[in-house]
Parts: sequence; C-alpha cells; structure tokens
Amino acid sequence: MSNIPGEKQIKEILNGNEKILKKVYKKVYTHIERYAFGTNISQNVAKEAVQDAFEIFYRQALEGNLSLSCTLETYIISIAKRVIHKEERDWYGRLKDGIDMDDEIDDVDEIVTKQIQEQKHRLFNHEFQKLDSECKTIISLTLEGYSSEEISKKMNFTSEEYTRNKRSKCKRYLIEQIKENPDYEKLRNANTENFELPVWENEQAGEY
Amino acid sequence: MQTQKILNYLYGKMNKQENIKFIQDCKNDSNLNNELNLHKEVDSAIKTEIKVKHFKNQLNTIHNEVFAQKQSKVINLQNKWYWAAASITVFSGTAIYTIARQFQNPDKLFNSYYAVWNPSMTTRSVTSEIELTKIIESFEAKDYGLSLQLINLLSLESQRNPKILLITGCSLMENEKYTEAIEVFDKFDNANYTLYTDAGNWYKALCLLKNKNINKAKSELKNIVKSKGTYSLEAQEVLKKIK
Repeated sequence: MSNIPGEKQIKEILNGNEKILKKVYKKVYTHIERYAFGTNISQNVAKEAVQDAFEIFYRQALEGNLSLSCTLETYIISIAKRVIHKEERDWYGRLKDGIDMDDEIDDVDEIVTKQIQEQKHRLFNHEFQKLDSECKTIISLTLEGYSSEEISKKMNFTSEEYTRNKRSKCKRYLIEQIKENPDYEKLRNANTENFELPVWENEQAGEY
Repeated sequence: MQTQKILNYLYGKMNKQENIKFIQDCKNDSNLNNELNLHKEVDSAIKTEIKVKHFKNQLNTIHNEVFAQKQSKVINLQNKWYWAAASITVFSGTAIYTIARQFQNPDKLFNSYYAVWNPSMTTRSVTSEIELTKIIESFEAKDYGLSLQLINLLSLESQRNPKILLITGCSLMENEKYTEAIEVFDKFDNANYTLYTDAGNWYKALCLLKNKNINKAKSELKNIVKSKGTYSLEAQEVLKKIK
C-alpha cells in the first residue's frame, strides 16, 4: 500500500510533482517489466504499454473524475496489462469495449456525453495540427500563459500589436476550419439519444 | 473584430467596463455566445494536449534516468536494441524540446539534437585494454584533447576500430572541429555494420548541418531514415524542420 492516498498522489502529479511521478512510475514499470519477462514480452513493448497506461490515467485525471478503489500503482498496472494484451483503446484513454477504467461511472448518458466531448476534442486538435508552425506556436504559447510581450520576444515579432493581430488571425482561421469540417456539425448536433461514433471524412488510420 | 473581442476577453485584455459590456453582449447575442463557447472548448482541448505532451516528455525523461541507466549496467553489446535505448537516453531531452518548439535554423537544430555520445555504458565491460580504458576515461572526463592525443598514440589499425572512430569524431565535435569530424565519420564502413555505425552516421549528419552543408546533411539524414536504425526517428524530425 502506498503511504500517500491515491487522491493526493493524483493531485501532486497534476501539479507537476516529479518526485511523486517518479516513485509511481518506478513501481509500475518494475512490476510490468517483471510481468513482461514472465510472459515473453519485449522491454520495448513493456515500456510503451506503461507509458500509454500513464497517458490514459493522466487524461482521466485531467478530466477530474477519477476516483480509485485501489492504489494508484495498481490502477495504472491494470491499464498497462490491458494495453499489453491489445485491448484497443482510443486516443483519449477510454477503452473501446465501452468499459471505462473507472468503475464508478455507470451512467450511460454520462459516458455518451464524454464520448461526444472526446470526439470534438480530437477534431479540434486535428485541425490545430494542420495550422502552420507559426500559428501553432503562437496559440500554444498563449495557452501556456505567455503574455503578448513575451511571445513577441520569443518569436522575434516586431511588436505586441503584430503578435495580437497574428494570434487573432490564426485563431479565426482555426475556428473557421473547425466549422467547415463536416464532422463538427455532426458532433455539434449530437446528443445522448442519437449519438453514434461518426465515420470521419477522409478517415485514415490515426488521423484523428 | 469579433474574434479579437473574444480573445481579449479570454486572455484578460479587457478592462472592467469592457468585460461587463462583453458579458452583456453575450447574453443578448446567442451567436456571440456560441462563438465564445467554441473558443473556450478549442482552447481547453489544445491545452489538454499541451499538458499531455509535457507529461509524456516527463515520463520519457524519468524512464531514461531510472531505467536506461539500470539497463546499461547489464547491457548486451551484441544487441542492437540496447543501442536504441541508449540513443533515447542521450537525445530525448533535446529532441523533445525541439519537437515542442519547431526550430528550423541549422545551428539551432544542431544544438537541439546534439548531445555528446556516452560511451560509458558499453566500454567498461568490453575491454581490459589499458589504452582504451584511458581514452574512455579522458573522454568521460570531457578532456577531449587528451582523448585525441591518446588515440594518436594507437596503431593505425586500432584507430580504425569503429568505437575509436566514434570517440575520435565526437572528441573533434566537442572541440568544434566539424570538418575533421566528418572525415573521421566517413571512415565508417556502412557495408560492415557495427554497433557504432548508426551513431557515426548520425553525428556526421549533425556535423554537416553545423557546417551548413544542408544538401549533404539532408542526403545523410535520408539514408539514416531509410536504414530504420537507431536514429531514424530523430533524422526524420530534423528533415522535417530543416530549412
């Protein structure tokens, strides 16, 4: 049993406490490494599974609705084992079999609402990734909390006004692109009654 | 105009009065309100991805700090995959930073991707030769001048040993003698693959980049990508960012 309750660990990890994260990571990886050795799975696969499991946990923690009935290490180990056994997961951390790792969530409407939200987020990020690198950087820096002045300096722009105008143009363009994406309309109008995972336009493996 | 207003509101650029007016406008204008909500949602989604990206970088760093070092103590030199792990150790920090910031200038790219080769994980268990041990020790102590002097004392045949070639090239790089380093890395025989070939080719590409020999650097990087070796991912990233 961990000395720190899961809730406190999660809070610390979300606050960027590397010491706690390292401690949890060490325990999880050591366990999975041994498990992998026993099941003839390569270290690379073990590492990827552990890191995927941490990512799934982190996304859930960011959403703020993670409440555990076991230690955090046990929870992440269980996800890593599922990843190893090729239980496909979607990019946003929910397992495709529809069973959320958080057993506490059993409200179907809530799950569907989450799915709609996740799909929207995928689409937003997909459109964001299509922006040119200058736009991506300026928007990222803004969202990381940098001021216009700091961004101007970092990006060698002539003035703060230029930075603000550029940011505005980039953001407007991004919003336009999102609105023009036919899948956005489907998601915007989706509700818990009629929602089906959309068949993406121009779908390619891993595009969203 | 509307976007600018929304951004000013979201990023705290409005004064109190403007703020109150904007909130009132949103109440009266459902289109504006929807637009504001969409901006908020988009920001939230991108912010999450930024956080996840940082988190993944943090995990990689932790993994390399804790486990790659542990593995190096029992490393099997004949196993190419351990080289992949070693390369992650050496390059992850700089590579991750580069990915995040999208540098494109050759100098910046070089600085972002270059990290001095770390021979410690491979050599101690490999050799008992006194000369070689001294060379490695001086290299690890960052006395690259001494490493080069000691290498010069070796026989010509020993100097062509791939490991020695790699140490020579890296020592020259540390002394900012990139053209000479390229000449050394050119001595790697690609047809006769060794554990050091991938690293040699990678450092050669970085030297070409540093010398602003962009076309040759690109060609070298393309070969690294094609080889699907230890540095193919890094090479691919540099190729994408190169001007």
